[in-house]
Amino acid sequence: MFKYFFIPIFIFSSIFVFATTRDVNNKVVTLSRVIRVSLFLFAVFIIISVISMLVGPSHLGMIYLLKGLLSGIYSGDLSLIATEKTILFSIRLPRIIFAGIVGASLSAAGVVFQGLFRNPLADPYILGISGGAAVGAIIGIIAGASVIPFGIPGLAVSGALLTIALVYGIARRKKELQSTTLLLAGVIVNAFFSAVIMFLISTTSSKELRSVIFWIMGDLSLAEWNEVILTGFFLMIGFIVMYVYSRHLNLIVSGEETAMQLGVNVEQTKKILLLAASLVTGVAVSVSGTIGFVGLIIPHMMRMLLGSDHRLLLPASALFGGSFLIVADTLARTVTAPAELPVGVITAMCGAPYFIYLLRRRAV
Amino acid sequence: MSIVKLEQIGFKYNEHQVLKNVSFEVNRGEFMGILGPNGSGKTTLLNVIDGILIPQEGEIWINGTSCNKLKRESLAKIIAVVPQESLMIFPFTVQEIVLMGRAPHLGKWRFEGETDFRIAHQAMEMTDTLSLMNRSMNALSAGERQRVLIARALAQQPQIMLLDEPTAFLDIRHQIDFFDLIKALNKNQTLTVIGVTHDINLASLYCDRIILLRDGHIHCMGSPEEVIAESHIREVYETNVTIDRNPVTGQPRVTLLSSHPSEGGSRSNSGAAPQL
Repeated sequence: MFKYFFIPIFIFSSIFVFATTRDVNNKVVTLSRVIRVSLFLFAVFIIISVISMLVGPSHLGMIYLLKGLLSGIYSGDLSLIATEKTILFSIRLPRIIFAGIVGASLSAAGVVFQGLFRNPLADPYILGISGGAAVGAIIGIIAGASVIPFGIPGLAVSGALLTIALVYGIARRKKELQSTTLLLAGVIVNAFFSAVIMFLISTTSSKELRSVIFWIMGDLSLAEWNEVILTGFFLMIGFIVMYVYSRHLNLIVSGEETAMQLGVNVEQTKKILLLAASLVTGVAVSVSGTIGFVGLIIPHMMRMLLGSDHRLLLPASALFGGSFLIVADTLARTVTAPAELPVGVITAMCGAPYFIYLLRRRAV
Repeated sequence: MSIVKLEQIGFKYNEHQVLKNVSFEVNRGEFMGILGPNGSGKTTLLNVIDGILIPQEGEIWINGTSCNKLKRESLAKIIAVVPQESLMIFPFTVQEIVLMGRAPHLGKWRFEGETDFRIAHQAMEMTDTLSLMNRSMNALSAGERQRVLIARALAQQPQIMLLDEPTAFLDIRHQIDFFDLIKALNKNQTLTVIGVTHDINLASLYCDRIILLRDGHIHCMGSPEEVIAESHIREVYETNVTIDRNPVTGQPRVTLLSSHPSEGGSRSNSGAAPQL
């Protein structure tokens, strides 16, 4: 079976990342290093995307498809029949790019949340922010907000922002933000939102019930080009804002007081970064559901490989997070083929043990 | 002209008056110590000077400019702070930490350039942390970490350095090393130093002038000889002490006395039986 090709390749590329960046903890982040690492991870992203495109439940052989694609490069015309083209470019490609964008969004947001809350276990899903966005989006679906442009993503972003205010308000005592309290606040808020979501689902007679349930666990199968463009657009805006403030985020990670003493307008920076991260999370959740743990695993892996400087960590996490979710989604659509799993199932199965490992390894 | 001038500063935290009517001036190149018991407002006073807390009353002048008119970034080019301790949640290297001192000179976008690396290098040289450059901050000893934090403060190229109980977690050797280094910078680079400390003897050794705080106001201010007197210390700390001279430097020296004479080393001859 060709689909299992995929796993060793992914492991290989992760090891390769590790090998090529082993000595970097000694190196200071410069612009040229950011560009080099980003280009490398972008190449990994492209390779993984192409391979995922060739893997799937249809009986088409991977080698055959690859030959077809390559022949197109030489002759300018793909030697594939129309169905094959449709499968590749109208079904698989948008979904792959979509997975990449959502993975990048969640990872970038994870980096920012971990930095702002100074907690390596923070993640949009664990903190309940994805849950809040989901509640906003479901209310939007039920109330028919899809007729308004950006209605559902807008509600999801508002849900994300309200959740941050809520979690932050619970966890903040005096000046200190307690690490454990923050996580507990996230757990409780998540439990509450699950209840709200169940309530909304059981009281509505919407015919889209099954898709809502599927969507809650994270689902990328609905990807169409216009959604891809929407999420890609917001990711780009959010990412640019986050990147502008990434060096200030380094300082905030060292302590808010320290950051102020080093000349950062902390309150303003925090607000802008929270807004950008919520925007990106909210939009991603509104179209893909609550895909958990991506924003936890990826930033943490990248931090171990590349160090803590956010000017490098942010683009690296976004690119690698995109690759990761593409792989997870490819597994989701092939492992139980012809049936499909929600991709959130795969990420949670990887992410929850990883969370426990982190929790055990370091006193948080 | 004085480099820092506080005019009748009052600060309230919620309804609690932490500082009242605090006025003083610090001259360029001076080493000013701030002493006082817990809760007397020492740290609040420092935070008011570096602009983290905005006092409700009074005004602060830095280099003749009102603090309100200075942006955070411009303030950070003048004032650097060495905090008590700084444990990093995420593993930054020493060099990365020291380069952070360049932040106020960089704005939002720019990456550090050659000048910044050179200045950071010099700062690490002065603090003898160059050999630690590539190590993770969290892998260092408390004394080493403190030197790195001084290096970061120096990389800011400040005119004023504030110390917030920087030696609280250090043993005596590292306490002396720390203050020797600061004193050398104070003398050679004409750096103005304002330091909060709990250690009266260290303040006596290194400070040009001392402010003794009590319940948020200045109890007394002056040279170590004037401030570290039995009457002042007893009154402010409500503790029995005796003060004599450091046999080497001649600076005032505080000796603590236990309120239970039998536990205090010098047994009293009063003959009273211990009450059990």
